[in-house]
Amino acid sequence: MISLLRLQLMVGLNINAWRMGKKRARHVGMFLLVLLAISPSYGGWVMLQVKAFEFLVAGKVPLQDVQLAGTYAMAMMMALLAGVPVVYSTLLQSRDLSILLPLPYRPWQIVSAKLLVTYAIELIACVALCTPTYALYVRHGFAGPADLPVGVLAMLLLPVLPVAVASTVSLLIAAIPGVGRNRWLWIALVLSAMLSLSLTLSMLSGTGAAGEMTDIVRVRMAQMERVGRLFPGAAFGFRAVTSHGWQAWMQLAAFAGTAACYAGVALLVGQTLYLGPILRGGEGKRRRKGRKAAVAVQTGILRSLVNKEVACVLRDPSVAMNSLGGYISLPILVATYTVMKVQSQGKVDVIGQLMAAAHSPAFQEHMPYVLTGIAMGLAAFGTGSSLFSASYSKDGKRLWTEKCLPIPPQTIMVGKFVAGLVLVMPLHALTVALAVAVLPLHGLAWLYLAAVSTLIIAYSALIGLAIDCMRPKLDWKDTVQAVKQNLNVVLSMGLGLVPLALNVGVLVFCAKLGQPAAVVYAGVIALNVGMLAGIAWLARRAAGALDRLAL
Amino acid sequence: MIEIRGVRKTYGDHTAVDGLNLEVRDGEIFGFIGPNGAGKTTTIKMTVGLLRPDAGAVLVNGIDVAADPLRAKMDMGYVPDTPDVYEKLTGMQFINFMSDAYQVPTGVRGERVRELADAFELTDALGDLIESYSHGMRQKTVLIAALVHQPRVWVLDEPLVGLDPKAAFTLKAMMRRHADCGNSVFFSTHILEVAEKLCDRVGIIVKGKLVACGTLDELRDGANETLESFFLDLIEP
Repeated sequence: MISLLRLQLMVGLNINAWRMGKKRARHVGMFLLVLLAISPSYGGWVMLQVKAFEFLVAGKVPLQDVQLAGTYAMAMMMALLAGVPVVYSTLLQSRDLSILLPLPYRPWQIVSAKLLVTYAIELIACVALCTPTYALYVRHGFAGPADLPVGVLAMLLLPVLPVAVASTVSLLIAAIPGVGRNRWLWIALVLSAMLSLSLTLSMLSGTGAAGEMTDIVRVRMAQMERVGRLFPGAAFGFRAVTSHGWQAWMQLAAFAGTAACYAGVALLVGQTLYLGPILRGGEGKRRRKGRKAAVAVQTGILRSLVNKEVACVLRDPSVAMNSLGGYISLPILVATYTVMKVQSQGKVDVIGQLMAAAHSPAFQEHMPYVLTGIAMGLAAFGTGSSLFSASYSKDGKRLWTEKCLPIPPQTIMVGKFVAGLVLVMPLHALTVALAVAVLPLHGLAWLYLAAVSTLIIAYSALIGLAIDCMRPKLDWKDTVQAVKQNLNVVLSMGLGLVPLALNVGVLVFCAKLGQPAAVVYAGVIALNVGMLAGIAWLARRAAGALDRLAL
Repeated sequence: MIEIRGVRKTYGDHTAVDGLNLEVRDGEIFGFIGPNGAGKTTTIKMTVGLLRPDAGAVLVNGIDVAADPLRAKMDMGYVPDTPDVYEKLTGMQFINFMSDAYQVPTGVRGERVRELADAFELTDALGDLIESYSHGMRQKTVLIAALVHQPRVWVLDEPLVGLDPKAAFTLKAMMRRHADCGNSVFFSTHILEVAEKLCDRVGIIVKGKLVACGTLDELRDGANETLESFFLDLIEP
């Protein structure tokens, strides 16, 4: 059992990467970068706790227990929300069951080893969040050295409840026939969990101003503590860390019992719903249920290529998310700015500022220039992704099919181009429509916006395809590597800046000569049409690289 | 018919195939055997146009694969050594895609797919995503997709790996029938018993060079030995 737990921790936490020569340097570098990235917000959190306790002590406000319990409750909420993606990754995405199940372990041992990885990850986060608060609680004399063991043990037990709930709920969802294992459903769940987590954390952020402290300590921490009590039995944990002497130990014992019950339920559910169907052999049957009948129908080769490409993008969530991520970021940005506005009680209003700028006289005065800039921005949603620049790479070793078929390489590139446009254009049309709806545009300005942004998308796509055709990354184990860790995506974005710079050049030239709006519009359109024609010609030549590619 | 004329392929300092001359005639099954890394797959990849030879030429039914690849490919069916296929497509979508490339009309396609899928017992699974297939099912899917346009020349790289005994038997019978109809089958294998029973002629490649080629009787040269013992004698240093 110990070796099973050790193996799962080694694999789950990628411990070998810290031990091996070259990989260690990379991982240490990445770890330091992550630390650097989170240090401002973590530093802010610690400072907020320092100020909160200073406020409590200076004002003799007897809410130190609420402050501590609220922090513990917040850590539990965080572990619950972050637990969903971790459980998905460690349980539902694991590929080692074919190795583990034939070994002499009981199913509950395998499930508990996998849940231990989730617990370990969540524990790190909980300790990082709770330690400053508990340290300040002790430092200000609210707990003595004798209370420290209880505080530490309570912290160790803290993630058990949320991890158990996250795994139970995740496995219950995964067991829903037909949709439970749908990757899109899980992406939606994980995104929702991450968004909720971000909102939970932002609820307790602040500048540390005195007025704000009253609100944070009296209202928000109390709210958080009440939310924490929604976990039945969590109150034992809160009381354990805020009580003293034998009372603290009694509360801790009750909390440990509660945690054991939670763990037991999680193991039972895991054994039944996670390993049960696999051991019964029902997995394959469930996967194959409800598929459409297979029909052999002839279509043109271009259409066939497009259908294949679209299916390969949409049915692989990692590819789809990377390909259409630009558009997905739009509603997330709007939601984030809205939350910021609500939180700051209207003081920070990015959307409002943009709208005010769009309705200002300066917008009308510089309409051709602003409109071209907006067109470039709208196009960036469609081109700033791996959809085109990893189109060949994502095929990987399967590229042999296209290469040995009697199809000219140019047709293959056209197929990939059209497939990309089929995916991008509806979303692009939506963003253009949105822009037209909110901007005070007159006459045919909307047409200009749509035309220029579409032209930019078209030739940026061809640049991406040409680069990826000439140097595809075909050696990968997972499509994520093909679309995310692909230099071609960066190269395409870099090279795609050249035509945009030319557009800026035309605008600057027209502005210096004081040209009328019609001339600016005509100049930009002519430049982009010419660029599309030139890049299409170059891409056609680059498509031939597929013939020279050794597979 | 396949004609491989003085073909050479190098990877850096390593010569994978060195001036190979070979002919797979109409109406025969030609077995291509050799130790690991001998150059079998490289030769096959050059035959189907996946690799370009550094020197020499490959002709399929008289058409130079390098000079006119589209015409040459039209009359070939290729099965690679590993069935790397689009996992996010269903079996039928993949077969339809391959058939569209070979311009197989709907009527012929439906009948041909049914025939092949029944033969390989894959009919019920064709509507499922390939990612749910076993290795053998993927191999069968690739076989159906490669043969659906009824190519005259079959080029099969280790086609029996992963197939269940019944499917392997079916494929061997199909290869025999195809050759008996005056077509060519060029395939590589490590299973010498299969080569011995199935092939009309055998070519043995060692370190990129063809060291023996002919019918089994020609190779044995009157001696009463198996292909296995002949092969082992040949590759022993």
